[in-house]
Amino acid sequence: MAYDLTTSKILIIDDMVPMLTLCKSILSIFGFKNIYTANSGAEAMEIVQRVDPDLIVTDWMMEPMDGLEFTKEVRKNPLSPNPYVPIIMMTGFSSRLRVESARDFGITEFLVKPFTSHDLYNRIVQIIERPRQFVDAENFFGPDRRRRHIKEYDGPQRRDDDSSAENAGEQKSVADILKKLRNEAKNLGGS
Amino acid sequence: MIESYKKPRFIKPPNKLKMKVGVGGIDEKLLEKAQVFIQKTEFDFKPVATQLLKAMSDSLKAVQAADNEGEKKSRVETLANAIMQLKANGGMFRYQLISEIAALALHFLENASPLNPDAVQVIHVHEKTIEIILANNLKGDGGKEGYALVKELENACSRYFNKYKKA
Repeated sequence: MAYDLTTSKILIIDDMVPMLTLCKSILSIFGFKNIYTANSGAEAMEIVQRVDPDLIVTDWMMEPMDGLEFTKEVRKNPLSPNPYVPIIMMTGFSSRLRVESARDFGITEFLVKPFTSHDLYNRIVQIIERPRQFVDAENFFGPDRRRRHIKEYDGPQRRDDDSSAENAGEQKSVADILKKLRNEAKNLGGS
Repeated sequence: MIESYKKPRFIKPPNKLKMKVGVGGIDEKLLEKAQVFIQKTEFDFKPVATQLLKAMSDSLKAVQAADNEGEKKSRVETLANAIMQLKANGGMFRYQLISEIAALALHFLENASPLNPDAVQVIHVHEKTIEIILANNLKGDGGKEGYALVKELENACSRYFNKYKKA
């Protein structure tokens, strides 16, 4: 038996259209049928009020309204139909300080870019199977931040495959360029 | 005087998503299909990367030119955003090596405060490296040489931290 995603409404927000398209395609492959997209916070807020999504995936860095301000709107604006809606925030930032400060705005889960299909799936599963309770306090309204600590990013994540070089000649020239760059980096940063 | 405060309330909202999707997860084959889709995406990231690299270069110059701490902090934030975008989108659109080098630069930037001239030089080398990779249109993670390059840049960052920790 598998999840039936056909009736769930999901909203994706990103001001970079290719990223928006990529996310929509991934979620479509997962089985979502009702996928709404927006490339600004203002447009997204209009969709939120109109369709009342079950899940929101938003980018952080957008203009003029960024993902944090959008989250604040969803959580606190009286016109928001569901202030408890789960929100996954996509970002290239991963330092603990930034993640923790962003969580204060009411984010449910973080998805660090670049991500794999499994990464996105795991965040969705967390939301479905381990939902956070909400805290309504003097200075905070949002998902309980105490469930777990997000492990601080500690160095680059490498992928297994290298699909770039298509023939041996190309591989050699790529290797030469990279070797040259490596030699230059050797002398950097003091002794 | 006792100040009034709002006592925190804990709320368990209805799990609407769970009620709709039921149980069972998503088929592993669909996850693999989605991953293949990511890896084969045809979007040409190079023009976007070129713009982001220019933003990185301009911000780095602006950091150096800043004449007070407030301005410098703001410029560093702009620089961090440009590097973060290279890291985030490079990795999503088949330029994994650029993504990894940008990740290193971002990690360095977030830990090398305040930025002294040596730190600026380290970031500048990351920028130049990304520029050359982009100019040569080197997609993927660069294989063994790409790995060695990333390790060498990591070593450069470590040498910087060792030098300034001791000082």
